[in-house]
Amino acid sequence: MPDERVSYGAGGDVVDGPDLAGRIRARDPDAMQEVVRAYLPQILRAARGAGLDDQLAEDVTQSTFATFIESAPRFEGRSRVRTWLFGILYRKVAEARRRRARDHAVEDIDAVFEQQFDSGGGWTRPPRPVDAEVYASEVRRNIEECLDAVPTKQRMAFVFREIEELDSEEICKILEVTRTNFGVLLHRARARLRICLEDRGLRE
Amino acid sequence: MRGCRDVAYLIASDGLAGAGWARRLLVRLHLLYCRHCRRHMAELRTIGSVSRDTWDIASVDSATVRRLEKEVLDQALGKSDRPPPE
Repeated sequence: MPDERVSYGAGGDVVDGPDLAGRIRARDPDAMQEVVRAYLPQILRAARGAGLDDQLAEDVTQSTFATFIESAPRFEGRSRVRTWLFGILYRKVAEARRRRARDHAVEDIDAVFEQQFDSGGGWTRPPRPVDAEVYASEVRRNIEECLDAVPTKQRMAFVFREIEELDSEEICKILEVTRTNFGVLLHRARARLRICLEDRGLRE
Repeated sequence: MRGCRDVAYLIASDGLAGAGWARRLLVRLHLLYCRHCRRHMAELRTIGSVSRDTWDIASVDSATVRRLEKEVLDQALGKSDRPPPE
């Protein structure tokens, strides 16, 4: 029997309201239920997007909500519930990936990026013309493995921006970085992806 | 701006949104005549859209969601003795 699919918007259901923070602090069961129902699919998707396998993604999702509920009395409502949840998720993912030792030493992506340009800032290895459809299908084939080589913080910047489609202000709060640092993280994640895809024969 | 290098960086870091009008105009003009940077931008767009398709919310099946919701809420409301995963 095919799986029944859940339909949620990219941004999830927004449940923030004027009295929600108070109800969360009081651990009101209805408020907890609203938050869990609204955001669990999004948290699970982001955990999978972070490169965790299905079982680990489920464990991290459960653990994220357990921490959310545990820390509920400290929620002051200064950020959105979603921002707070994604912040917890980010720390859980970083911990899980550290345990799996995925953040092994990788090449200095900044140096690799700079090698693509000459001293005048012109391309030395410009992107080659590839049919858009062909490029998309090759990206589809390789994206998961290429993303796996991206360090956690860069990967989560990419996941929150491209998959969850959050704005930069919210991502900066989640990752606790400045706008400039977020730009560096995103640039490095994308540069790693491009170069990984290139190494996998996407170019002539 | 150091030509393509800076344009490529601005595009990849989502830096255009926060840039002033003069810089945005310079980047637009650059993109008009530089096919390499246009390709670079198109590649990044494709990588983004393929990623969204790959981890589409529709790939989250409802049976898993319902089971996890129940487990989380049982924990939250004290109906379960099992500790949450660490």
